[in-house]
Amino acid sequence: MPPTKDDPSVGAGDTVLRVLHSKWVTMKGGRERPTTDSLMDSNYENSCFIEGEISLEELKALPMFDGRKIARIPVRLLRAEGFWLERRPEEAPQNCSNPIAHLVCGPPDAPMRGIYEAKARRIVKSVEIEII
Amino acid sequence: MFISNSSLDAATMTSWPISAPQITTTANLNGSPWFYSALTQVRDIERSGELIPGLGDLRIAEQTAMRARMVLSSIEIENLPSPVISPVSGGGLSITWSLGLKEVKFFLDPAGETWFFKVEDDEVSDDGAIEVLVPNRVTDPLKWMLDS
Repeated sequence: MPPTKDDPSVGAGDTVLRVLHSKWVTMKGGRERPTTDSLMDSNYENSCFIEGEISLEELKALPMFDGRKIARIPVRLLRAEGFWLERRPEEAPQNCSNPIAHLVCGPPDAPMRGIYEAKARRIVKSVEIEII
Repeated sequence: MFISNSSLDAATMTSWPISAPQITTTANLNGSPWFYSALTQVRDIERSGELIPGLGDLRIAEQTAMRARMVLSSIEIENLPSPVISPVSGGGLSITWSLGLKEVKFFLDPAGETWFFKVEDDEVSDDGAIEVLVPNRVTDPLKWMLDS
């Protein structure tokens, strides 16, 4: 279900890490970026991790994320499109050293697909997003 | 009964304007590379889908996979590029064709809805819910993409 609150402990200057399925990466205008599918969970709950509360190295070392690309997304970009960020430690992967770093982000009002796609597209197109 | 070659030609040949995309009048796509590639991708997603905590639920329901095959089978265009078919977390599936600056994406919601998106220069120019079984609803956006 969509986030029920926008956690104030996640700062505007923070960045989140979104682990990507292999099909969620594309080349546009000579730049590699996530696809909109990476931010369009059908239940409006896209899993991410707060960078700094868990290290990139640890994420990459988790067996289920082995070899996967990761997008670094400024929280500011998500909030600018009305996405809320809600911590969900209970949904963090097993063996994660700091489950509280796990959150879901998405629009709280569960908009129609067209609006959801447009929001996700504006986010993923930002040159501030880095694929690692 | 004798049928002359010219009669056969008239009966079997379809004429197309040179500039128009070649669109078949029947959905006989068995020989189309894009169709084979698409079906293979759907099957792979069906087989490999899993719940990955911290990434998403990449499993798709059998009904969603069947709807994807219906979408693909309803397309009466042979010369398409191969689509990229991707799982969408939460049980969804997307089918995306790209050609130059144009893109057509179909999103299959796990609840049973199907959406199309026309994208031009990385901006959505048109979108809406579609009824997969209504003729041309799937093919029309793709004709738009092929129309240069």
